[in-house]
Amino acid sequence: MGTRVKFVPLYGARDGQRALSYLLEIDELTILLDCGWTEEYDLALLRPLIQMLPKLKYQQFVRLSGKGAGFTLTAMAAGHTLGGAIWRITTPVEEQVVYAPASNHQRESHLNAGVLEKVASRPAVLICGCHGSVNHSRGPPATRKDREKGLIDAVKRTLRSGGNVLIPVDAVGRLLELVLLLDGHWAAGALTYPLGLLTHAGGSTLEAARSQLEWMSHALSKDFGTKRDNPFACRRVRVLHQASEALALSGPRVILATSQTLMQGAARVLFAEWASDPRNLILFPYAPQEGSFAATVVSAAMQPHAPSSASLPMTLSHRQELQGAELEAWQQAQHDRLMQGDQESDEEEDDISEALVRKFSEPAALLSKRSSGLAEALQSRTSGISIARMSRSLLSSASQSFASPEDAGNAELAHVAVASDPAINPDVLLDGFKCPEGCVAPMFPDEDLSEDEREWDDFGCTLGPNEFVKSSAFAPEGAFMTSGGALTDPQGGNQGDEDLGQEEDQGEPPPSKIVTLQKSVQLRAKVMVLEFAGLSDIQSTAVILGNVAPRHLILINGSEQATEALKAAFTAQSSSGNAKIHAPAVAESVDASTGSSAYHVVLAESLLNQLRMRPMGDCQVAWLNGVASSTAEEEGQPPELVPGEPTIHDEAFIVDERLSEVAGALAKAGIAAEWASSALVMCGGRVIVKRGGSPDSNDLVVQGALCGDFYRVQAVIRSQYHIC
Amino acid sequence: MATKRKADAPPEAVETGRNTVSVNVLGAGQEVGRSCVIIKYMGKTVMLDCGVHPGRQGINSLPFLDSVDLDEVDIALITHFHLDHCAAVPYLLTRTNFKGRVFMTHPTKAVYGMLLRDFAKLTRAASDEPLYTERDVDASLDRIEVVDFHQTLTINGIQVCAYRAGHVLGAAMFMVEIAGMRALYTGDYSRLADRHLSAADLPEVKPHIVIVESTYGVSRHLAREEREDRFRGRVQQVLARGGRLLLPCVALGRAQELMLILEELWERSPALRGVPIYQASGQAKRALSIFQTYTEMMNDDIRRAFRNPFEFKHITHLNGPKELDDTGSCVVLATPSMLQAGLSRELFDAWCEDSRNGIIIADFAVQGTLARDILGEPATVVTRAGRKVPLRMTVDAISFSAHADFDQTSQFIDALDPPHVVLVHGEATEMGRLRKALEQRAAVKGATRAVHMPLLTKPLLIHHRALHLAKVVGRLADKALVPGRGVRGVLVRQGLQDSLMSAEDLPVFTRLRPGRIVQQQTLALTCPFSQVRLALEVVFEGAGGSSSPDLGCVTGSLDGNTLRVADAVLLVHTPSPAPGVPARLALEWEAGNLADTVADAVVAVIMQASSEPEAAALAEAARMAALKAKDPEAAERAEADMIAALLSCQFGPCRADHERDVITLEVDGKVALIHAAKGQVECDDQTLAARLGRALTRIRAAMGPCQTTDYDDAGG
Repeated sequence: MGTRVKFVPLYGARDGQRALSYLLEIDELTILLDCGWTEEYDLALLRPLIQMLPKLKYQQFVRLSGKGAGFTLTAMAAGHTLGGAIWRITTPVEEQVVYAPASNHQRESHLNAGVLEKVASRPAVLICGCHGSVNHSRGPPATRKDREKGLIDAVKRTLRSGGNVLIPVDAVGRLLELVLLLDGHWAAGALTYPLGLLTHAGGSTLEAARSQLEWMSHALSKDFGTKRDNPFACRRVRVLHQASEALALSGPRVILATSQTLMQGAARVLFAEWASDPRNLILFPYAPQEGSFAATVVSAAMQPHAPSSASLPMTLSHRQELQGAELEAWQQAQHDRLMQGDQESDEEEDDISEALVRKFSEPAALLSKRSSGLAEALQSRTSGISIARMSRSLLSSASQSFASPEDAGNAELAHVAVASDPAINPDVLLDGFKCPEGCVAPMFPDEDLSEDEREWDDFGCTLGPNEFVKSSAFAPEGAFMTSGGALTDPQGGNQGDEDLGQEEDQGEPPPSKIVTLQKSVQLRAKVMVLEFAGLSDIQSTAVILGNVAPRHLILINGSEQATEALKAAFTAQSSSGNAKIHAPAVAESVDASTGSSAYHVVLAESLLNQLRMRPMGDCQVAWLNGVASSTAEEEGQPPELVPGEPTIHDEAFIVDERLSEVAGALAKAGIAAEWASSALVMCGGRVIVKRGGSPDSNDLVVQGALCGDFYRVQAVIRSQYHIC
Repeated sequence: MATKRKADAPPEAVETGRNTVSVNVLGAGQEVGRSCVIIKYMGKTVMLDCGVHPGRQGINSLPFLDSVDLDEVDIALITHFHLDHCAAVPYLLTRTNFKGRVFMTHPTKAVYGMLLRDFAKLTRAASDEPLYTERDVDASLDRIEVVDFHQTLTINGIQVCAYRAGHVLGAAMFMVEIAGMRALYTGDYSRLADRHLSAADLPEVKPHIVIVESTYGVSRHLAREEREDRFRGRVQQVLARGGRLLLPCVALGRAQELMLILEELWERSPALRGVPIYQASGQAKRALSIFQTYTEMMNDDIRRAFRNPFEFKHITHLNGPKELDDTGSCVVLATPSMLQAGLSRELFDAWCEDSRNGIIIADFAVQGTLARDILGEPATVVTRAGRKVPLRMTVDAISFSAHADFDQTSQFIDALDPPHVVLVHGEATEMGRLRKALEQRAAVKGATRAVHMPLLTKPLLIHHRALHLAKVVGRLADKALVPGRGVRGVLVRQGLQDSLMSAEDLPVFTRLRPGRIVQQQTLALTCPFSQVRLALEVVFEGAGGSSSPDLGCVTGSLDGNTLRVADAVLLVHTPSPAPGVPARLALEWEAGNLADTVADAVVAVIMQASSEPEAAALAEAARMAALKAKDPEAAERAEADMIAALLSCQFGPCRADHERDVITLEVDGKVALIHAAKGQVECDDQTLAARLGRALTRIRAAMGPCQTTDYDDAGG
């Protein structure tokens, strides 16, 4: 009997990878723990999944059904990132399996401390990440205040000497901590240096953070109670959209930009620009991923005997808009395609419609529900001129629909689409009106303009050329609006940013091509690596693991070095006791089954009244002498225990490991005790208490003469440790 | 100087055994206002809500906090920010001996701070003895902890889970679980969603006791559409005739719902655009930022809305009453909601005489407040200044207060199917009707349900059959449980979990380790060790126990200096190293029920042996030998020797004369003759004779148990 537990790392074990995924089997239930990837994931694949997942709160008990009947899942705060979780899986017989790949036992500005120590007491299995920093030869780890001071000082020094600071960050996660710190400091010091946030959806990230206050630290919620502003109002932070904007700012500036690996994104571009200036500072919030370009930069900078500057080869790609001959060629090709379509038969017009649907419904599709009506309407026959009309209305209506409720927008778009074909909806025209011969479609005055503003000529309401230019107000942040070959994100939409649920609108990119440059960057700028990963270090993790004292410990999520270090540190903990330690490699299976079985019983009231509970450590204990009752069981109820016949052997001795506890108990009873070479001496040397036997045995020795004090001491010790 | 208000009866000591739950309603019992319920079970005490009565002032507006021992309360759970549920919390935390922890949801705490500072200011202006100051409110905020919906917290053996209650932003229902007994307190709740809030959750676990609000008793609400239509109609009616419309409501809560409706109406009707809507509340901006922050706690519509629906285009926030321009038609949302004082009262006083004006009471009006009074359409009202004026403005009650009506309540109770229902937060007559209706409904369905409507400070005792579970683990669980089979081991209670295991398994499942206590006792020995051994054999020989080890076993080592008694106690004798230095005897045993008993007996025997005169010991040994050899005469002689030896300890040298069967004794020159067998004393001195007689009786009594049954009393 017992609970069968099997664990297999799919990736993220002993390989220094930051992506994690593991398979956990408990009896009949199979659980996939995490399903991570690197920054090169496909957001489009993920989006529908994110909508499907139920949202949980911390400490919400989720009771499973079916194969998981009797299992309960609970997520607890892990620190490290917003919403970071430690999972506790409770089996039907109340064995606990804890999954904690990344946690932080320290409180941060925007997050509460992780609660790994309180998740379970002596769980059957604890799966723990070995992510913390390894060497502590420099002494105790820096406090939070020291780290923050280090960051601010480094930034300020650079700014004062006229240099720029580039901080490569993740899209969301550790970014929030840094933004909060820097914004707070900028506000407190009334600094005027530009502080920029250059991630794919920076504004949306901050906006989403503002409505997630209940997930953040108690200090922030408390502040929100007294101040007017949401802590993430971040008035000093400028949200930027392109690297060119960051470069165009005047004076020394601090820019937080993605990606943290410097492999893509604006950070890469800015690095290429700024690395050669010795006044600048490249500030990594935490040690970059092994093998990434950022790691190369760091190791190049840390070379002790490097020449004054290291030379780093870089490949930079950017999108460049087609111009001149290329643009004409492209336009010609487009035109040919459309013209070709027009001359074909009716059935093939559907193809064009489809092409148009595809072309125009890309933006439409991203307007979620509104698109279905529009797409259908576009299926109808259209011709060249009305396309222009429709596209204009589409653009202007779409811009409107960002401001007005869904329904209004939907109605307008449908209205416009339908207007192109009077046959579809005759209600659009006035009663009795007949379309003149040879007309293409009804045209309506611009709804946006008021009566006075509209200009009329013989053809209807006049159109201005500026109405064909996409306004910047229309394109929300993150769109790939490029103008004149500015450097942009070469990877296009797959930035790997977590969008926090808001739709990205990509607008319609003008025709462009990717241009690749080879560049050799001289690394003369200063490079610093801080400790803002928000993860517990190895030593603290070992202490916490010692306190939790799992029966099986499985180490994952770390490099070889870190895994071995944590293994050693944990073994050195005295309280690790008889824990079995596993440190599997990828695809190596671990058997963490518990050999013992368990079942529930009901304790009868008569039995409960007999118990003499006594506090011991973090729990209460009592001796229980019961016998299974012979009365018939009720449906579904566990068997009942009633008091049994007392015997002289109804007793247990649970001895504390520490003599100081004994001293405390004696003091409470009014017996003064002194320490003498790890033994307690009392009553003028007549009674001595010390540890005895071999180091493994748990013996307490009470020595004394035949005197009343001996019996008093004996009574105190009995009341402490004799359970009967 | 605030005097303590006396409760109706002295605090009763309520017995709460394992099977009794005590529910004590300190406020909102057969009334609405000052909600406060105390649940006691298994030594744990939980307080639910702590509000003030909006129709009363000062100390009288508080719940009957004096009738319980507040320092016994472990936790206080506050459901939402309405004053009748939370306004007494600063008083509780700063003016009483309450020591427990306080929990509420995030938005409740944010709004609580705001509203109560306002309330403290108002009461300070209104009376000399305010219940508490703004500083008290700030101090209370530090002690209040937050809980989120669907989280389950365990505090001091009590499990608490917060469910959504609808009603207002952040309103919660609390499921309290103590040792398997579950009680659900709904606070104010609504089972219908509205524009910005979702409906109350239906908890997936079934509670044993449901404490539910009964504000609307057996009434049924209008359908939401109908209610909104009526409201819109009324608004347009009042404005059409050129009047001003007063909507008294608290700045936060239902006001947001009304504002959403008004905004939509203004958006749709161009005709109304000219009429200003004012929200006269200094808290408006602050309140808005709270609403904009906690959108995750509202319903799905709000969460998915692209633009924040709380950005109103047609509603103006007034910073003060001076900004109000009421020369023409206007709509004003003003606080407080029941027209007790403040701007809403001012406007009411100013507008009530004009028949064009109108007032809509959109929230539940508590008995005793002006809002409730005018619903009865009196001819005149008294203004704040004390003037009597005619009431000509139209008064309507269109309730948006988002409480459950009869349909919602009865369906909710049916779904949860609890054996006990406790009605609170309702006026007596309506509550009575609701109770009857619920009982009838339960009877029809065949469900066992007791519906209670307790009076204030009269604790309600509910019987609950507790089922105490323990998990048997480790080697103790290896064998299946069969009726009659014993299960003995250590019960470990960690938090709420009981586990039963054998002592050897303690290191596996807990951080405890079994161990041994070894006792080592040393004593000085003045008599020879052989004597000790002899005495021990005498005492222990023939002793047996129902189980092993053989208690009667006394084994010794070859060198005669080590002894082992009953296989439990080890004696080691160290002979005297030099004359004048006593020998040492060291005892060692491992503590345990049996070993302790044996050790105590051994020590007693040794002490007795040491103090006993040698002659007596020898005589005793001789007597034992004689008895063994079945020689009664020798035994008699030995006994006489014993008596002589014992007497000599007390009185002086004695000699046993065996031929004459007497013991001669001389004390201070006086001679006495003692006939041991007959128990007689011959002596000239009466006192000495008496003393000797007594001593002899005692000695014989002491020796008595040693006698075999062959001896009889007659033989002496």
